[in-house]
Amino acid sequence: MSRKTPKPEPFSVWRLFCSVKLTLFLLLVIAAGSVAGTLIQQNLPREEYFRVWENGTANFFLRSGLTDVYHSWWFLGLMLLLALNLIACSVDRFPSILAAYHGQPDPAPETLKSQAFHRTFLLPGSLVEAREKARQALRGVFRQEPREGRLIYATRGAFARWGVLVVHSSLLVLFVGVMIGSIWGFKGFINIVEGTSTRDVVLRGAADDEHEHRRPLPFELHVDSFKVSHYDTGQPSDFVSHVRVLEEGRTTREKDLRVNDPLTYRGITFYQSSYGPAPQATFLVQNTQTGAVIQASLSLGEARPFDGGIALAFDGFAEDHNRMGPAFQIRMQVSGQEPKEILLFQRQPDFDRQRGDVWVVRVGQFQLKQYTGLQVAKDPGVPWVWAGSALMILGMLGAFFCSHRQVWIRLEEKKEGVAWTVAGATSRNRLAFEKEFQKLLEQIGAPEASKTREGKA
Amino acid sequence: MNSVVVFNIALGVFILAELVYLLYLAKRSQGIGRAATTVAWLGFGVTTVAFVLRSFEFMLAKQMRLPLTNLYESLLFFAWSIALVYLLYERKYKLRALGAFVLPLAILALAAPYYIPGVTTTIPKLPPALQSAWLEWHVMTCFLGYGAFGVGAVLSLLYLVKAPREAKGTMGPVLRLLPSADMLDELCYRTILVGVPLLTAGIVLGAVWANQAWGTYWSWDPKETWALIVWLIYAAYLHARITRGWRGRKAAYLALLGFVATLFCYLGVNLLLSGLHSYGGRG
Repeated sequence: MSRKTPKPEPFSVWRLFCSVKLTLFLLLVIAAGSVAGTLIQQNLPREEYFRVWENGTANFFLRSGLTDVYHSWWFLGLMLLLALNLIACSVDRFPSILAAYHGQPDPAPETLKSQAFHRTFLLPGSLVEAREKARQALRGVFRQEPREGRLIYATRGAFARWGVLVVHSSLLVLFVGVMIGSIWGFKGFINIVEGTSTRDVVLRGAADDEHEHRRPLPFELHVDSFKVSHYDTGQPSDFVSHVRVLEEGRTTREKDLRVNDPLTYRGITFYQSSYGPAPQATFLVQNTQTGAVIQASLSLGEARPFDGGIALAFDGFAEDHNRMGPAFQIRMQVSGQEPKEILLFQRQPDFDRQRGDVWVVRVGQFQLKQYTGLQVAKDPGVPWVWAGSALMILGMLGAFFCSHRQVWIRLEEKKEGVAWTVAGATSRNRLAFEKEFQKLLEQIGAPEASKTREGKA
Repeated sequence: MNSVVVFNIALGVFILAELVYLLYLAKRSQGIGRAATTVAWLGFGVTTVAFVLRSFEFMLAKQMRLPLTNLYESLLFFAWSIALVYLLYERKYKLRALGAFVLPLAILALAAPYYIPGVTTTIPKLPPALQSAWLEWHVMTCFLGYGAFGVGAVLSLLYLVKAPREAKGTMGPVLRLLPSADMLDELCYRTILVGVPLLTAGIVLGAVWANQAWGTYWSWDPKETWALIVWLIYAAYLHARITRGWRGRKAAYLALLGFVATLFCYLGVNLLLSGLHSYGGRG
């Protein structure tokens, strides 16, 4: 695809966007930007950057978007420029690609002699015989234009001319897919305790987002059970959530959700992602002066006020803390007092008496359930992304490994026989075509001449 | 016999092949050249046998996967890919003189457990995320691509050494044995033409898999990002060759840069950065 250096032209934005030099520049700058994004940790809380780097450097990183490279205005700008570059090049090259695809079915005699491969020779016999011989030699290898006359035109692999354009367009299809996904899709996650269900998901937002954004689901997702199995080394080998989709109280879908085996329902997909303990405990709070007992049932992470002006929060849990069995961390606030952090062990009901407080807490009933962590995604752009990817690979195969080959045979009746002009051209891979051209000449029975002269392309 | 032992035998055979290729460069006798090629094919055969054996070991551990699951196995496959790409090239283009320059890459990869600390050779237990049919296709396409880029890098290095001496007419006997500088440039280009679709397919298969496992086809994880960087550099290489001024020397530098990025994507990311591909690490 070498293009002749054009004569100096006045500067124009259009020519700039048509230039391969701009492409080269953009590809390398995008690569450099991407490198920066892997060397500087992305999307950490602001303070982290000031802890690790000098103040000036941290400020520079934060202002220039180097802490979130792939979503920064300049990175997206470079992508946009690349897309414009692609579109401009494709539009600019389109007429010449179309012309090349059609080939040259009817060239002038001089054009034949200027082809990269050509040979002229004289063979005895009639014109009819010669035409039959030529058609025979080309059969099965080249597609021949059905035409009468003295010129036979045969071609193969013209589709290869579209390869580069297909690769470039595929990138645009991919970009469209990415945009569709970011406009109409969402990404989120949910942690659901076994035996419970959810009607909304927590959206993933920017790292500095203070609030949790939730998005309602158009149905209810219920987790019946969660199981994890382990290798003998203790590493998890498999984890499964048995989930049900409920609509208006009826089960409309049921599935064992595993890693690598997601559930898609009404365009929303749930992926098994993580799991963890979800203990539920009843804490017994006793007033040592009056003897009154308050029962407080809480699951991990829950905080609630109870009778008697007491509020409890269940903050932490360990299945086996210091080999003392299940341990619970709670926060208790008696009205009018500072909140107190309390550590409790199920196996030692009197542990909390050590604090010497009026209110003493112990663990009553306790049930260890699991929660399952699911990633949730809706991305209507995905089919576009796959279509773009498939097109890109097909286009590459066409552009890199297929060549458009053309052969012309012109026959002219002379009184000693027939004068042959055989010419050939290929869009790439001249070495392979040279062999093929030689073979064609042998089949025709061209007299052994000095090696086919190679002209300039 | 344990597959690790067979891989070590393959390492020995490749070292022997390297010595014979070097002897060929010194003596320039066709007989020695043919011997070198034979030993190299033998090394490739032994590596293949080792892979088959390791697959059986996986089956015994009740894991129906090809052994392409951790850093050690990927290094073995990298060596296998390099040897395959090179040997096919040698056959197609009669390039025996290149053997001595390409095989060291395969040797370095096979010998990695001896110099990269913590590369374990035991049969791994696959975490749930790796239990996917996409695993093998993703790894195979990526690594065949890496293998092609490795061969391309050696070709461009040789181009950079040969081109100026060819122009000045100051070539030694070894350089004379190599294909012409233009041919080296052309071969490097063709190798990269093989590598780019493979890498592209590898990235796409990885994206398909990530979408199935995590619900995101692209998350700017360091491995993904570095694969993209490699892809961009080779895309630049292909475009550079269209622009006349970038042929030859500049293109060769880009091809080398591409392979340096490939190595970082492969090893640097696992050993130096953290991310979703952590199981490709030393563990």
